[in-house]
Amino acid sequence: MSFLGDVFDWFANGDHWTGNEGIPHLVLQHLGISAISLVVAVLVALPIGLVLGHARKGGFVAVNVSNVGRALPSLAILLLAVLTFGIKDPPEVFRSVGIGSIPTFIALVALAIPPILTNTYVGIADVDPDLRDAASGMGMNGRQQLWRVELPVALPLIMAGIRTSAIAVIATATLAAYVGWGGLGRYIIDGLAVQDNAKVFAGALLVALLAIAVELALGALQRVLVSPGLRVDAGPAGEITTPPRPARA
Amino acid sequence: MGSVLAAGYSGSAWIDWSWVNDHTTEILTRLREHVVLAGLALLYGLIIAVPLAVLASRKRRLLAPILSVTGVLYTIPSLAAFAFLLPFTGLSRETALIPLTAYSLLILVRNVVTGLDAVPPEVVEAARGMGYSGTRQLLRIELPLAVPTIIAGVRIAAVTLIGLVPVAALIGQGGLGAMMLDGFQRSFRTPITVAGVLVIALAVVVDAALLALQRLATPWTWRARSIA
Amino acid sequence: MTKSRTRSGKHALATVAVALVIALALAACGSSSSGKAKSGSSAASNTKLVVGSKNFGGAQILSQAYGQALAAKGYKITYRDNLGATEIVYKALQNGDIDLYGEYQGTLLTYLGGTPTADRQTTYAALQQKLPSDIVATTPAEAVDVNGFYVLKSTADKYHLTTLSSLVPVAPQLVFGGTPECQDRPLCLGTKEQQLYGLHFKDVKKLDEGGPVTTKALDDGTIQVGLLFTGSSVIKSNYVLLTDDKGLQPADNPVAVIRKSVDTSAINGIIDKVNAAMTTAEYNKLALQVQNEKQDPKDVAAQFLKDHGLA
Repeated sequence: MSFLGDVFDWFANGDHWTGNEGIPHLVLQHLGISAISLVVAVLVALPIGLVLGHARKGGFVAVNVSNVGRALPSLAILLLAVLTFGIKDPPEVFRSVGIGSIPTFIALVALAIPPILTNTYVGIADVDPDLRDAASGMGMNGRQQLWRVELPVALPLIMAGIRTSAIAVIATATLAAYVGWGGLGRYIIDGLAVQDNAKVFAGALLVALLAIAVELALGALQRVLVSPGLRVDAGPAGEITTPPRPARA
Repeated sequence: MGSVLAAGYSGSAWIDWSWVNDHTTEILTRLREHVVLAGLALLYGLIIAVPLAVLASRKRRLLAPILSVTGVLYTIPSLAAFAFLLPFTGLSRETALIPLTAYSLLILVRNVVTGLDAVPPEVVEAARGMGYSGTRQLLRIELPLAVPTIIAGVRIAAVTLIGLVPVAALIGQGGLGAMMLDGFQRSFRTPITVAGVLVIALAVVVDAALLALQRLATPWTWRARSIA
Repeated sequence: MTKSRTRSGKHALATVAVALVIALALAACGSSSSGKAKSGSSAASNTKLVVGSKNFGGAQILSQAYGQALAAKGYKITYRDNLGATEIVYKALQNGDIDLYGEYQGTLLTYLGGTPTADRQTTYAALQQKLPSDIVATTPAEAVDVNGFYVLKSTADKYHLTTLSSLVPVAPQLVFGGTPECQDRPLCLGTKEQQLYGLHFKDVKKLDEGGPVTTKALDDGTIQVGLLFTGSSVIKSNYVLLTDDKGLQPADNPVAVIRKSVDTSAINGIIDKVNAAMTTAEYNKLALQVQNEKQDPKDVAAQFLKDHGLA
């Protein structure tokens, strides 16, 4: 078990907790760009999903994009973005909100949009017609229906989409170390380069723990935000397999 | 004796079609590698997931732990997962295959369980009444009725895996991902673009094919639906 | 009614299962890419060799040249390309995952703990001493591809930089970008360099193997000093190579490193012929074809062998 001993030693080494390549710095870098990318993706995808879902337009595209969107080749986007934009430090304005690398930011936002867009669309469009009837029967106009009825009902699915995107973003931010960026992927790429297996393993462990922590945090957030009457199970894979409604008499 | 080399290719164009023309063999080889990797992971995933799901649907206490474990496996970013195994299995196909298989488990187990759960109680009753029990009931009644949901899960898993395989190029196993890295190292856009487009195209084709299969396996109107 | 449902359900299940299994079994029968092999002498014709390569253009050309020259004489070659730096590929060789690969003797000698010199012969002798008994290296080629510390002409003019020694006092004001393994490599910014020059930069960035990330970073000012390979990286006309006045960089000539268990004098002979034709000028030309004209290392090597009558 001396390999695990090596990994333990790596963590125990004080040097690895300080400075630009220290664990705290890289964790913050990783989280920083992931957070801002997710926020921007939500700002882009949520409104589009809400509008389209409410109008029930563009359904074919939205739903079929959803599954294929899982295969979006993040590596290709990242590499093309680096070849186009280089790895120059962005202006301070961007850096202060966590965007330490333009190509990485672009790739992460592109990746995060599909799950949020699709889940928002499907969540809104699939609201039980009876509920919508009831709402308009109560005198609500379209916009009120959207905010007061459809959005809260669709919230579990929307949150599930955001969670899926969050995990995808953290995973792809790990890759950005390959093109000279930082983040926790740095330990993995550097460790691979010099065959330092303890470093590689430690890096992998840190990334995994970060992803799990974020998943749990967002799950807790979902439980807080979503009305108890709407509890629906949705996991990190984001999809909810809804059992069909019971057959009516 | 002519030159083996064509005229050079454009580094700046997004796709230099003459490169594509000259490299169809290589492109197809990489495509095949990609399909094999994703396909094997899917196959192994099914082999593990179906028994696991059957177990979980029978003994409900096990469902939450099984979903938790497969959920954790799913959450681990792919590069990290490949990196975990590297010290033990080296630069081999297993280092890529094992994590890929693990990623498929959450989706597959979930869908098989949901599919089995959705079998109407009346049908189970009727089956019991006709003398079916245990394994026969499972194999002849429940699993067949769960097939549409299972295929829905296979669709999601297949597309997810297709998207994950390129990352394995960083440990020497990436199918179309290897084309991406190669292009990048030479500041050459074309292979990256072509590989990226092919990954999406592959996902679209596989998704459509499995959707057709799903519809084929559903002669009745009622079907379970997977969202996003 | 239940019976007909069962039958169609069973039918569906069976169809799906059979289709999946067949499709995947067929796909699984596919194997990884293999190289071409022409029919040749009987001694060679059933020998299979796995040729690996390091992860940058120059090294890939070497491995391809060796592999294709062997294939032309009847060996059955498969390639495992782009595996990584010396650390990874050499280990793969020791494990038997690959049988041979194209390496640079100075880099390998340093990796094994030895001290290369600027002389090709003495470095080779030292390498042979350091290699374990189950691995051999062939006679080195004439070409040289070493680590180069490059700055933009504007930077050189600003700080009056010509040699690495002239860089030392200015280094703390500058940002350096190089390979991820640079600080562990004696010939880069590792221990030996520190003893000879003692370069301490304001910041050290880990980029790539003398590739586009490093050149772009140099171009747009993200770094002021970049590590590129003198023989096989893209060196733009406004880059200035800082002269290695204290002779840190060794005779880093191409060699083929082979597992002794598969090595034969016939194989050595074939590779020696390839290396004999590999001058610095040739090597440079090939590397630039890959980097600038976007040719494949495979094709470039093929043309090289053809031009020299080796394939």
